Amino acid sequence: MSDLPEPMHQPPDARELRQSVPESSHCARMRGLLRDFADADLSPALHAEVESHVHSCRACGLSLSRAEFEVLRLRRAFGDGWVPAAPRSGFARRTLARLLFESPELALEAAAAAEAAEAEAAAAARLDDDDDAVRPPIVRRDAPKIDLARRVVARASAELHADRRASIQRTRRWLVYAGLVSVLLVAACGLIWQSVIEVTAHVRLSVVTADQVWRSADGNLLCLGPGDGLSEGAVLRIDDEGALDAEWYDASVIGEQPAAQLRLRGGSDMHVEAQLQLLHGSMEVLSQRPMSVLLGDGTTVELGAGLYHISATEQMGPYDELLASAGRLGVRVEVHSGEVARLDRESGNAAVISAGQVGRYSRGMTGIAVENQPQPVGVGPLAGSSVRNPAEPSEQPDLRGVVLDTFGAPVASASVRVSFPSVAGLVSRHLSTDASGAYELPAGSGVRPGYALLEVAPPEGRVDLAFLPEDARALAAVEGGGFELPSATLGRSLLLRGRILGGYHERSHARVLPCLYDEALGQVWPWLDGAVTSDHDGRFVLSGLPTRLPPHQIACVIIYQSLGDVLFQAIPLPDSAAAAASDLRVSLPPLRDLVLRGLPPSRSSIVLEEVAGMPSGSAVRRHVVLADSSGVATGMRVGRGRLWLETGTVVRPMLQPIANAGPGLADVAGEQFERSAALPPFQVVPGIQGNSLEVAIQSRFADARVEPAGGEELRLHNLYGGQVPKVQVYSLKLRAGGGVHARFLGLSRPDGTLRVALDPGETELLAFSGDGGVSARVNVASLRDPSRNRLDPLRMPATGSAQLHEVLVPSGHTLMTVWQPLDVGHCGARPIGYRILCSVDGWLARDLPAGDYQVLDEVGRSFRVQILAGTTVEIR
Amino acid sequence: MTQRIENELMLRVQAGDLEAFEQLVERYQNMVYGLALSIVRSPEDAEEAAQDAFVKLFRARHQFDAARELEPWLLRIAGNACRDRLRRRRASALPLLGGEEGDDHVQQVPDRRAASEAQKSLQQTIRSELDRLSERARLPLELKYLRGMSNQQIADSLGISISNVKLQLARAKDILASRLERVMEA
Repeated sequence: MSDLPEPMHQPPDARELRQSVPESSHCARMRGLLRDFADADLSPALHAEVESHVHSCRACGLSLSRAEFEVLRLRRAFGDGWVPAAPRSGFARRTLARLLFESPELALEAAAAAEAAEAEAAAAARLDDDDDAVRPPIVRRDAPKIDLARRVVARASAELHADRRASIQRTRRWLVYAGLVSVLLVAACGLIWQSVIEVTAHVRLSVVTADQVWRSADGNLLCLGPGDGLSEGAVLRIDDEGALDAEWYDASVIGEQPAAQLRLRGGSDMHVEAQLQLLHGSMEVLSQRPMSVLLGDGTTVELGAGLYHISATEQMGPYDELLASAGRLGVRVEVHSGEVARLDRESGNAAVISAGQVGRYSRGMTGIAVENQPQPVGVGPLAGSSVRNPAEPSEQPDLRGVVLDTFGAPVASASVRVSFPSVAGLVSRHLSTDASGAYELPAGSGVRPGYALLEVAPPEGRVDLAFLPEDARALAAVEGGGFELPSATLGRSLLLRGRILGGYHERSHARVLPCLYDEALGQVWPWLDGAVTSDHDGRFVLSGLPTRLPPHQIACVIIYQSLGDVLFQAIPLPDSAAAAASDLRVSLPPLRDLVLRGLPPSRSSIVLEEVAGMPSGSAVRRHVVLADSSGVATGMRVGRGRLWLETGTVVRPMLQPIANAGPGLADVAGEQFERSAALPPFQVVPGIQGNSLEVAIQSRFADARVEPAGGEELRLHNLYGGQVPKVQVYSLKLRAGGGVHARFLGLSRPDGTLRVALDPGETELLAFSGDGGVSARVNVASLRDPSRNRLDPLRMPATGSAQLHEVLVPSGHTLMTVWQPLDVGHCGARPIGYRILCSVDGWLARDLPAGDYQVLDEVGRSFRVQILAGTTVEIR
Repeated sequence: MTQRIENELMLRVQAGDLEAFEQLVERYQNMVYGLALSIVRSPEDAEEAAQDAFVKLFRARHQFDAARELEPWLLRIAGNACRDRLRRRRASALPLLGGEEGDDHVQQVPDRRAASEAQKSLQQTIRSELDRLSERARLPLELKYLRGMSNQQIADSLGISISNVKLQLARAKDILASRLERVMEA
């Protein structure tokens, strides 16, 4: 729009125009047409009339200038930086595929009608062969096109209606779309070439090497060799001593092809369709991207990019009796490396298998057992006989537990992640609860005494339940072997409504990412599945967040869009004082213009901007800036966060600090250093209109280890010398670049002790009581007693309460917060600025560790109060 | 001439020609998608709404009157499809909050902060002010000056008369001018 013509002359001032009233009724009529004239929306006659008038009337001429200026201004404003209106490529094909998918009968009917019309046209053409003028007004088409349309529709209909496995609808739906698009592409090509094409099937499997591999065709077996291609419908058999290496091309038209390399050995049978189907046998899959494999019993195995081993051991009957033997396979899926695999059984049971794990089930087993693979099978060739029969699970599980709702009712189909320390590090397993809300890890899982980490997500559709964030829980030994976790209760879900306003109070369309912020550890844990987008009025609704959190954790949202700064905002929990406030209203801070100097000249660079208010290294926004020949970039719009220039190479990324050099001015200055020293790896979280955010994925338990046999014994006591069990203890180590690294040491045992082995540089201990309400941070040196060569007890502080006096109880939209400069310290770069205590019950704040507090309200009143152990202090 | 070709395509669609339907979608996809983007304001929803419109067009193909132009009919279908999608989205995900301002013509918002930002570039200020306009005021402006639609096309899309379009455009321009005036003064 920058090439729009300028108005003929400077537009008059609006006040001047208001004073310039029409001099006659004709003038008044002309004034009413000026905007249409400026928009060129008048008929030629009216256009000429207006043009003639404005040349003779100065006041109307000025008004026209104003109208032209207004139009020019609007066109420029709209034309500068707004999203171009073009759908993604392939829109027409997707639309047609959707039509065929949703209404195959309608499309079939259309194709039939087309064929009938064509026949009629052909007949008419024959009758009137010598008289072209009387042909019907229907565009003539070639018969093959109609056949083709029919085949396309018939194929869509067949694929949609002959689907016998409802549980794999989602995957199939995508494949059907993709298949349809492929066929339509072929159709388009055929129509262009005006030739008769025959759509049969596509080559799906290309043989690389084959030894005793047979294709079953019309009752005969054809021997396959290198270079053979197999299309949909082919059935393969590999003899017991045979082998097959092949490339797999699936139905995707956008994914990389071949989708995977396959290696099948001994006694395997395979059915080639748009989706790979392993009827029975075993194979290794080296996949380049997400794909799925269907097993003979209807189970779907969804794979990412990685190396996988899949075996489906038939327990009776050859492959041609497969339909009769459905459900009689022993299945084992092993993830050697790469992305997770997901196993979906027809019965509805599902499990996620991570690298180094094995998921398996056998006949008669309803669930899926997931366990670590102690000795991973190599990538080398498989021996047909080496496929191990999955063992039946032990009667006595290693670990069991139950998931309940707040009424004590069992929660079925909840997703449970159990992690526990092993010699090799933290081991995680994904389980789901059965109808009685129970879950269990089979014997041999390697669970050790002490603690396990538990994280529970409610089943799909239970929006009334909140997820249970990962936390350490003490294990109780069960008579007869194994351990038990205390029952996990999924609380009610937090339903938060909010509205986002931009920097100028305009309604704002933005992405809202919920997260939990641990103030004491300085970590932010984003909840990616809970992210929502506000509507064009800026309204959003969040659900699924927990309503109860330890006091050192708060629920927050990260709100981001392209026109404003990223906002990191605490959100009120139902039991907090902030619940008195109405729906959350947040205003995004405006961006600021910045001139950046010291960039590499005449090229584009990446500038990373940290999110203001968040602990350093938690989230960044990426800007691409173009510098002129002197290394200066102008017109950059950034927020309030710290800026870094990304330099170095892809292999060795480096960072260089960017420092403020005055209002609206910043310089690239300082030494470069490796990116990993300042920022952790990030995960991209998409936003709206291509505006994404990159967030660090952190866990406070990531460095947990097995409790050492040696080390020192730490005792946890209360102020009166009593033993305190179930205390979470972390060791703290100062980072070279600032901040603190925390390592989880474990939970104190029932006798209040814990064996710890500190690494060099770990100089402090941080301890949280079981509910997180009491915390302590001490220097290890202060606990060491050289004379007795052991650690003195770590004493947990006592707590008190604070009661707001009735005159201070807020009303309306006033938000009252109780805030404490945490004496346990912030391990993050900086605190969030205020703290909403989750334990505020009504206007009574309980379990406050003794110390100095501030009480703040939104109108700026501030009160200081000292909380004494064992007492309730009234705040007046 | 173009309209004749498109009507001819629609006749082929009426006769069940899926290839003609695909060509028709290709011809109109940018216009329909642009309209949808202006109304639903999300690229994902806009694509869905645009697809809704074309699928509805196919389903209603027998109602097409070849003596009349296709485009106004398609725009009407597309406008309705967008509003349907918007209603579904609001109903399913975003319950109305009590005490919020309704669909009034202009939002009553304080101007103090905007006024304090008067030093910002003019383009940015205009864009901000456009964003602050109510949906009813913004949409005709956006369709006209961003999507390049004529008054007739806007009227077809929004299901209102041309005079109503002109009236809404004029009122939106007045509101915008008055706000910009205040910002500039500040």
